[in-house]
Parts: sequence; C-alpha cells; structure tokens
Amino acid sequence: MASIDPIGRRRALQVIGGAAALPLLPEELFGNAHLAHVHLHRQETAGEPAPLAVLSEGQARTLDAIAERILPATDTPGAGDAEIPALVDRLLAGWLPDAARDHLLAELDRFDARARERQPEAAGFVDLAESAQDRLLAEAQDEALAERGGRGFSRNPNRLHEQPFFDLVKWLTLFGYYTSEAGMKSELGYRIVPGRWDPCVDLEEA
Amino acid sequence: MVQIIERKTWDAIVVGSGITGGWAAKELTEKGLETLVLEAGPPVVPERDYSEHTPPWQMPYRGLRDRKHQAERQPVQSRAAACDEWSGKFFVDDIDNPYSIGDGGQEFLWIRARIVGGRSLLWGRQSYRWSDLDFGANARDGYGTDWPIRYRDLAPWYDRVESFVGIAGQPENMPQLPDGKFLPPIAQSCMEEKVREGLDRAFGGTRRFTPARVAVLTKHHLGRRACHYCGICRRGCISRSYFSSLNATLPAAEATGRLTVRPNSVVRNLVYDERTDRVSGVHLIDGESMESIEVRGRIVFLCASTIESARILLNSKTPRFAEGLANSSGQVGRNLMDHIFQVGANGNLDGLEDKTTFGRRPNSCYLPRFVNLDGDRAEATREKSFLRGFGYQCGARRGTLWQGGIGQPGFGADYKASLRGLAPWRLNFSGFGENLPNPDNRVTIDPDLEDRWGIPAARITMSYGENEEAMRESIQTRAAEMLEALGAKNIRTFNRNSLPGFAIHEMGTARMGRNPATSVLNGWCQSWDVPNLFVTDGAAMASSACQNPSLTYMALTARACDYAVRRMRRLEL
Repeated sequence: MASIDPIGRRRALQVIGGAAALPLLPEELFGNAHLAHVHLHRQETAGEPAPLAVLSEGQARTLDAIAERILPATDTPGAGDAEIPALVDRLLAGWLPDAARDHLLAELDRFDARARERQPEAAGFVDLAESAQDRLLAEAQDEALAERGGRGFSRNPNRLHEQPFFDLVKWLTLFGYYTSEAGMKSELGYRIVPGRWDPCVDLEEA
Repeated sequence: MVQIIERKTWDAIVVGSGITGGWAAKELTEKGLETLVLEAGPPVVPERDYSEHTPPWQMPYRGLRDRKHQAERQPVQSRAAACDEWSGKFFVDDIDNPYSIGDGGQEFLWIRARIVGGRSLLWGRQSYRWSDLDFGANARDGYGTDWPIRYRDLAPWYDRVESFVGIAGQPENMPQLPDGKFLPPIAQSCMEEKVREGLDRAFGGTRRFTPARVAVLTKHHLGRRACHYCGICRRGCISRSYFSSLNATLPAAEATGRLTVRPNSVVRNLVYDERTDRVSGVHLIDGESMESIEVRGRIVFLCASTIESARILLNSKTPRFAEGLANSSGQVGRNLMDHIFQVGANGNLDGLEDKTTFGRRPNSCYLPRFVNLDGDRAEATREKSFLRGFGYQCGARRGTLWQGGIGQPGFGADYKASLRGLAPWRLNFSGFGENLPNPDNRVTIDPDLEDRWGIPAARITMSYGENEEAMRESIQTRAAEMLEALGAKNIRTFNRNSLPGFAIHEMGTARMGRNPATSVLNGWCQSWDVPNLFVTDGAAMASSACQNPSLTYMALTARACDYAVRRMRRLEL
C-alpha cells in the first residue's frame, strides 16, 4: 500500500476554467451581436467544403435544385443558399437509417430519370427550365398526396423510408433552410446574441 | 482494495461538485477549511466547452442530434430535452453508468451529469422558496415523517443564498410562495400581462400569474454579467449570467486559496472508523487510471445527488452498519420522490396580433399553488380527490409558421411567403405536482450489476400512486378552466404520464427528521449515526413540495456548513 502526497500535485490544471476568465469579455461585446458572434462561437466551419461522402455530384446538384424550387430566392435567399446537399450528405452518412438512405438515393435517381424522359437531352432535373422543374415537382406532390392518403408526414427516423419522395425532400429542405445561416438570419431575423429582452415590440420590428 | 492512501488529512471532503457541492465548497472554504471536492467526471472549461452561441448551421446535424451515438451510448439520457446535439456531452454514458429497475417499479429515468459543476450546468434555474405549507405537510396529513425545521429556520439561509446567486423575480406577497431577495424580474410579454389581469379578475387574485423566478442575472451582480438573452442556458453561459457551480460558487471557493477540486474521482464508499465512530475518509476510483485511492478528511459532505448519495451510503457497509453507513434507521434509499409533470393544457388567445417579443428570455411565467392551502384558506381550497398540490410553469408565446410547413401543401415563392411570420399567441400551463413520500419507493444496490469502475450499481424501484394520478386530472381541469375564463380557443389538455425521475427533481433518500429511529439526518442535515457526516443534496428532503427544489437544497447546504463549522470549532465533531 503506497502512501503519497495529496492530489494537488497532479492537478495543477485549471479545473475551474471560469474563474480566471471572468474579466475577459469587454462590456460592450454584448451590445454588438456581430462581434459577440465572431468572438464566442467555437465551432467555426470555415474553409473548403467537405467532400461528399454518400451523394454523387449529380445527386447533390439535383437536391440543390429541388430545394431552391421549393423555397426559392425572393427578397431573401433561397434554399439553394442553405447548403442542403452537404447537410443531407451528413445525414446520409451518419444519421439516417439504412432503409431511409436507400429510399432517398434511389428516388433521387428515379427523379432525374423522369426529367430525362421529359427532355431527353437533359442530364437530369437541373437541366430543365424552371417551369418544367415546377411541373415535375407538382406531379411529384400530387403523387405524394395520393400515396399518403390522409396521413401526415412522420419525422420518426424509422418511418422516413415510408414517406413519399416529395415529402421527404420537402422536409429536408424546410429543416435545412430554416436552420441554415441564410435562412435563420435573413428569413427569420435570428440574432445569436439579441443583447436585450423586450416584452412587447411591433411584429415589423422583430 | 485500496492501493493508495493519501497522507494529507483535509478539513473537509465534499463529494460532488453540483449545485450543493459547489455551495458546500464555497461556505466551508470561506470559513477557513481546507476543502477537497471530489467530482466523478471530467473538468468543464467554459471557453472550450460552452456552446450557447454556436448556431444550428455549425452543428453537423443542425440540432437533430447524433442519433446513432445516443441510441448506443445514451438511451436514457437522450430522453431529456437538454441532452441535445450541443449539450449531450455533459450527460453520462449510460453503458458506463448502468442502473437497474426493481421488480414492480415503473421505468425510472435517472438523468445525470458527471462533470465539474454537475447538473448545475443544465438545470432549469427556476428558484422558489418553500413555505410552511410544505414543511408542515407531512405532519398535517401523516405521509412521511415531520420535517425537523420550519420556514423560519431556513428563511435567513434563503436570504444568504439568493443574495449570492442572483434571482430575477417579482414579489407577490403570497404565503405559499414566500418572496425573496430579488433582482429585477424579467418582464412578462404584453399578452402575459393581459393574462395576469384576466386571471386576477376571474379568480379574485387567488391564481397569480407571475414572472418565473430564475437564477439568471438581470443586472451585473458580484462580478457576473447581466443576461444577454441568447436563450439557451443549458449549453453554457460564457457571461456567467446564470448561476451554476462553475460560474459562481467554485470560483468563489477557489478565491479563498483553500479549494482543491479533484475531477475524475468516482467515489466508491465512505470509510468509517469504528474506534472513533467517525467517517475518516473517502474511497474513490480514479476514473482514468482506475487506481483505488483513499483520501482522508475531518468531516464529509455528501452532495453527490439524491440517488448517488444513497448508493454511496449503501455501498459503505461496515460491521456496525451492515445495511449501509448511517442507516440504523433503515431509511437510507427509501422515500424516493420526484415531481409529476408533462401534464396541463394550452389554448390560443386572440388579440395583439401585431405584437411579439424581442430576445430569448431564460424563463417564462409561474402560477403558484392554489389548492389545499393551509390556515384560514384551507376550507375554501380543499380538494377531495388528492392531498398536497401543484403549481404551473406557464407562458404565452408565438411560434414560427415554418415549423408547421410540412403540413401545408405547395412549394415556390408564394409558399415560402406563407411561412413567414408568427402563429397566434398560445398560452400553455404545464403542471408540476407534489409526490407523496412512500417508503416502498426506494434505491437499493443491485447485487449483480457494476459500473465501469467496478462499483455496485443502484437498483431503483419507484411507482406513482393514486394521489399523483388524481392530481394529474386536476392539473388538466384547472388549467383548462383558466383558459376558458380567458376566452382561449382551441383548448387542449395533455397528460404524457411522465415517468418517475423525468422531472429530474429526485429527492428523499436520506430524509431529515426528528427521530433517529425513523430518519437518517437531523435538522442540520447531520447523520444521526455518524456525527461528522452531512448529506445536503436532495436526499435530505422529507417531502417534495411542488416547487423546484434546488434553491432549498442550496439553503440547507449553507445552513449545514455553518452548523458543521461551529461544531468543529467547539471540537464537537
């Protein structure tokens, strides 16, 4: 049975990291949302976009184009600025159950095939004119409605492979856009550090 | 067996660094004691680990969580809303930290954070005083045993704790929810002001809709900054605006120069010395090296959280205490309580369509208990179908329209425009109800299950009973009747039958009492059996009240520290 000195010897490390850092944040920082944002968040994802792990380049382009038609750029950016393919690729690689992954990939290819049926010289959906893209999507929406009957969309990961293609892509687009920097900041007016609480403001102001 | 015995004898050893361990560390070091805090988990470094300003678009799954990892390693923890893609790292690994469910018990959700700061980093921050309606409850109806203290014993300690913590709140002069030392409240939204007026009118002031009292700063306070309303406290708080051990009490303790925190120290048992009839130290397993180490101290504060503290006592068997240390009453592990919740009602309110709020506040509103009151209000407020009472966490807010977008047909520019804007105001009442003490709801040791460090695991046997069932009905009915009185539309009641443990307000496994034969601790949170042992976390509670309990744990801890040090100075410990 060894007998040694107390624990302090080996724990010089800053256990209470907070204490020393208290004066670190200048007062005015929180009056400036942009500065606070730049200063505070730790998971900057700047740099080259990660290579796709699951989606082919073609599938990614198709997905991007569908997303932009569902939520197009208007007075605010559209879903084409929301990095939907990168998000979906990460979901495919590490999140979606196998059945949902296989379903989505197969349906994406089928959708491009349908685009080629309409316009044989097109490589896929991206090569159609916007009006033709919208017609194809409207058809897919009608089919989804018929396929679902009266049932609503289920977000349960283990039910996603049962969802019609249009609904699945629409859900991914909505979720992806309204959680993207473009969607949250421009469309939702989201500020990471609001800096104050106002219990009653005009809707316009918010 | 113990491999290493550290030579130093600490004045005090505190087991746990959560909300009560942090307070014990602060009070004991400030009173001059060289204090060692043992924390089972790793350090948390705010600048590295807090993520409240990391937006969804910088997270791999944008907030959908690392689903596969959670299914594999955190099947229990991930049931908690706070265990999300940002904060999931603060919760335990369920495979390393197993527990079992006893025969006949409901599934129990034991939500835990083994990190420096513990669950104080993740708590809901709602801070309410208890009153003699609560401290007198067991004596009044005979469930459990009488609390050895009353409100007047704890009031100065609530004062002391609140003055340091910083609680935003509004005085209401209601006997069942005593006012405290408040910082300015966080103002209610314009719709909530109307709700307050409407309820006052409809119920003669008996149902008071007040800003929730929260441990978040509305102005600079003792070197910590005012809230900047980013709204996601459970991911951390780089400005130290919300109270946690890491943000406030541990730095205060460290400033004395008498604090040592030892992370990755998984406590196996307390060491009891038969000759002196005292606890002489703590036996821990180093979480990283797996070494078995004994540390020595003159007094021990057990602040490991309700179930863990019971587990440690039950794992500390000696010839004298064959059923677990400090357990001559047989009450260690018994009377486990939580709050029933996830039950209430909501509805839409017309008006103020052109108004909303700015910023994301760290609270909402609270509606204090109005049933089964005491004194001259007893008759008028008596409920036939259940004992004790409930309060509501509540609020009126407007959701975003896009969240319902998948249910709306269409796509394109017009569809996008239709998702802009906010839904109507929706008022929600979510009840939190008292759980009667019941000796059959208990923690024991599972003889066949050990955690990753070879320590016998807890077995939890707990069920809600008829009283809780009847209360759930009333919580829904009473909420719906308030919504009706306010003219709400589309009123919906809900009852998700929350499982025991899920409110994360577990308490009661080493209750205070007046009699050593029926309680584990005296009125000072001091073990009847072992005088230099104090238990000041939720285990000490003799009943559950319906208010969030952390503020009371903190006040009890500060009071116990004062008592312990006075006794030490008189050489009585």
